[in-house]
Amino acid sequence: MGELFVNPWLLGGLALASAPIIIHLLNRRRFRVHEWAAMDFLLQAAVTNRRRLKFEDLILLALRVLVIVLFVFMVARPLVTGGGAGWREDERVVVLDDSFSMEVFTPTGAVFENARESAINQVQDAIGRGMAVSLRRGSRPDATALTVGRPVAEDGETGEGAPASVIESGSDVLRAVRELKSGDIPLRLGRAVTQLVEEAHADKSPVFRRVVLISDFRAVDWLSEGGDVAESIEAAFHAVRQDDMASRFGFQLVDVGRSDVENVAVTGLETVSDQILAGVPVKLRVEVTNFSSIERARIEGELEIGESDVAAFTPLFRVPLPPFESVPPGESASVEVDYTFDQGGQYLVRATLEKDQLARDDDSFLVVSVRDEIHVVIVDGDPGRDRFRGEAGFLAAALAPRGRLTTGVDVRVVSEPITADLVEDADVVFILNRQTIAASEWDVLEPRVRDGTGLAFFLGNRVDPDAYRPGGLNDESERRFLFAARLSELEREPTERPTIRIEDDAHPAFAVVAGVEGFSFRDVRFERFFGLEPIDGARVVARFDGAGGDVPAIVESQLGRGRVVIFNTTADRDWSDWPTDPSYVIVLQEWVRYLTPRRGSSFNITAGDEISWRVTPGKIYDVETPLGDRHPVRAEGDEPVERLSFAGTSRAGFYRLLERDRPREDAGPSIQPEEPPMVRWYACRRPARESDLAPLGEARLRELLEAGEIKYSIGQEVDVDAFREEREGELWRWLAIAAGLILLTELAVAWWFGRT
Amino acid sequence: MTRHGGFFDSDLLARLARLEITARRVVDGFLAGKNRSSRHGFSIEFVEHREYTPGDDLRHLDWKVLGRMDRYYIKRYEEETNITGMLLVDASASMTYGSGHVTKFETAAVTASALGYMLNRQRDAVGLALHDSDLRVYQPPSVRLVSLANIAGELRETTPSGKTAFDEIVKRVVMELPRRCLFVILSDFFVPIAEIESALRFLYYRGHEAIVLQVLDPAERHFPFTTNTLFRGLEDRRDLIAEPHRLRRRYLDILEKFIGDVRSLAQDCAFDYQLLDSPADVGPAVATLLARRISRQRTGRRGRGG
Repeated sequence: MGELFVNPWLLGGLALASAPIIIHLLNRRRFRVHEWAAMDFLLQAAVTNRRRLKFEDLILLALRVLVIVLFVFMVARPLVTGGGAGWREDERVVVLDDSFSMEVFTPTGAVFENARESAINQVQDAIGRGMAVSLRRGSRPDATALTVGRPVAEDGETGEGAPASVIESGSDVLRAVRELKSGDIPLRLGRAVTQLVEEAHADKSPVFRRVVLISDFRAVDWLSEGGDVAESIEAAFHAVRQDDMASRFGFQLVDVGRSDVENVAVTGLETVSDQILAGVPVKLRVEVTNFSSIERARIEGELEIGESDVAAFTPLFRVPLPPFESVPPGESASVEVDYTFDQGGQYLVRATLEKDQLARDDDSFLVVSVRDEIHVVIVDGDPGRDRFRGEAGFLAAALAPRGRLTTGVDVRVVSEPITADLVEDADVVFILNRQTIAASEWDVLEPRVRDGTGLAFFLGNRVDPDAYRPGGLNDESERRFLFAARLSELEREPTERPTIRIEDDAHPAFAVVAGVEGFSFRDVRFERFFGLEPIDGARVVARFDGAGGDVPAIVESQLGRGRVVIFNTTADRDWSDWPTDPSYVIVLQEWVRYLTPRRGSSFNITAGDEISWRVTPGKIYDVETPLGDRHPVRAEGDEPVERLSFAGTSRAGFYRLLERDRPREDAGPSIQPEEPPMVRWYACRRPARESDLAPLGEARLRELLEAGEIKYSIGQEVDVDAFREEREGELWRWLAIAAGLILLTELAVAWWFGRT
Repeated sequence: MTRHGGFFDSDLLARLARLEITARRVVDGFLAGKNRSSRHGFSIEFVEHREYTPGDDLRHLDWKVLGRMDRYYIKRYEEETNITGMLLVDASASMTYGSGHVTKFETAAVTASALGYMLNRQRDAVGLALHDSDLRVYQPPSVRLVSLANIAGELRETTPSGKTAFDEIVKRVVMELPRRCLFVILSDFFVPIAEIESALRFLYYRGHEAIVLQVLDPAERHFPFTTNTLFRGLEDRRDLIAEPHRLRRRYLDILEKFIGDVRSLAQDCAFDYQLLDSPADVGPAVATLLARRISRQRTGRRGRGG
């Protein structure tokens, strides 16, 4: 019946249809007694009228019963749709914006508290109406946090990885909703709506869903950076309009946001350099953004730096930040702090500001991976006799100059064939003027490069152009990116020696000299070079200009996580004087850092991103969240997997990955102390845009919704009729008219029958 | 209607009194003027003495009184009454009905008493027959004043009950009467019309006259009931639950037809008929009846003279 009526429980009122009959029968039992003389005449009149009176009684009773039946049907609100499809009872989906912008503290309490109370009201109201209701977090719309009255989808999980719960009692609902906490993942409104539409498609029955969105309705949740409606929301609106979905959804928007909040947030915390080496000073950059409507001055903060061999983040050093003197509204400012990490390993860095109304974004987190040194292996194809005679001599001296000033680069020069052992610990492998590279050597290099090891080539007179084809004749193989160019014969010695033109000054390897006037690298003259044609997918970083005919001078490619670079020259002075130019040291130092695997970047994620790591056989893993919860992460099934991941990064802060030996199944109780787990730290940061609390505004919101042809209502209270009026096939108006007409007919007929 | 000292209503009697002189002249036997009566000499029952007046028939002189008291008294006999009136009053249970303060029987009793009083004042004999299905009271016609008092007493003391048996009662009363008389019939006539017809024709063929006064209650005439009512028969306890307003039209049609039938029967027998359907209007109704009789008598005399 729920498919046919909006309020099927009111059909119980059909029992009232018997009321006229009961009243009629009772009336026959309720009379006054009158002694009467002329009974013969009265009986005669009654006898002759009996049939007519019965007929009249039946007509009146039928009309009265019909009026009541129509009235009951009217309030039960029958639904009629085309094709015989019926409507089912409403389902309410409460989408609670649990992004951290909801943690704004106001004089009346946290916005999220108000939102949670509103969600409770919505859930309770739906339960009271006998509807199925589910509660979803706006940050994780794919998972249902709470379901009442309907089975939970098999894949329904809460944001913390716990399964959604089916709750029937009102007190449990209150408790479950009150236990919800905000996270640091932004509201994914578009995804939420799209998810609901997908579920509606899967659910063949035409359920009408009221989607109650409880949010602070900030512009960044709805608009792209260009000010247009966000693509995800546009796609969601489009999905709602498709396939008659518009008739199955109504959106109630509950705005709990505040528009008068001043907020300054830490929107950036990073190291200026990619490679952080022990003992090498590094700059830590902190960026703050003023999301207020007024200028903020002298914003103070500090850096907290802790080590990794602890159970929880414990600051060992506190470095005050230089004050942010003046930050205009809507703009960002950054300061840099020099810091030297003494030794290799992971360091935990937290930047904090003085608290404001939205305290959650007044800090940010960073994991810094510090290397003890960069291991470089130089494979010399033409070993020289002394330090500055051969290619390796120049290069080794540039990368690891002698003296007090350490570069953090450890160089090992070899000339033997390339083997796995040779390059096992290498961060970067330089191959200099090697005549050929055997297929077995390519086989050794490929997995290393794919895993992140950098590879650099310097050419020379010994090089056989045809031997530098790692993919062999199969040009479609990814392996071709180990040497992403085709070499041809040596260019004739030009009459004018060309210089180098850097194609992209912003390239990380040249960023340090970008904009520097008189940088000598641009003045270096090159006498010889190979004809070099980069393959598709390779990137030309620099070219020989002028007499060089735009021949690529530096070509870069990527294979897996590793980078490969080809310098179309020699590492010594055979083809140019670059090794004697000061830029030689600078450029190659930068290239070494550029080619070195970026270990630190994978340890810094944004809330909502997965933490992913390579699995070591025989190990098991647990992840500790910033809240102290520990979640085991295991591979599904018995098959070994290469990588594991953890998706529950809903809160910003430091996550700890613990790697331990898998306990042996046949092992008994052991008195041996358990090996301490290997720990890796991850820093989870908040999306910077989430700190922008600028409201979308009701007018703009209405404009967007109406442009999207979305049925909606705005307000805290549940308006039962907000959407039902627009449903097709509602009959209650017709029933009301029919009941009214029949009532009038009954009155007229009763008057006619009873007239004297 | 206001009752003073029993059923005699002063207002009613006053109205009737004004008619007396006229009636005496024109009503045959109903008014004074025994010389013109065609029925004198029928009765031999002594009634009273009166002083002799010149012109009186010496045959009626009471010689015994003359011998004892030396005074001339004329003996009056029943036969000297011009007409014998018989008040035939229905005392069945149906006559107990009254929607107001007055029942139909009370109306009938007042009317009967008034007419009896009027006859008595004219020295006419008046008798009373009270009946339901049986003849409950029979008082032979008499001109004595005490007889009138007895009639009033019987009417006052009688409580109506039982069913009505009209035809049989009329025939029994007629059998009791030694001579033709004027029947004043007061009843609601809630008996089969055939029975009424039989009784009236019987009277007619026996040479009696009759004044048919059909006594009904205003509620019976207008049937003003609206609420659901259980009507319970006064004579036979039959019940009927009805919504009165839905039966009213049909009932009134039947009643009107019945009244018309009774009236027609009376008129067929050359009897006077008058419907008394309101206690307050008994006087005017009786006056109307008498006026109609007077008018008819005059018309008849002129017709005969002509």
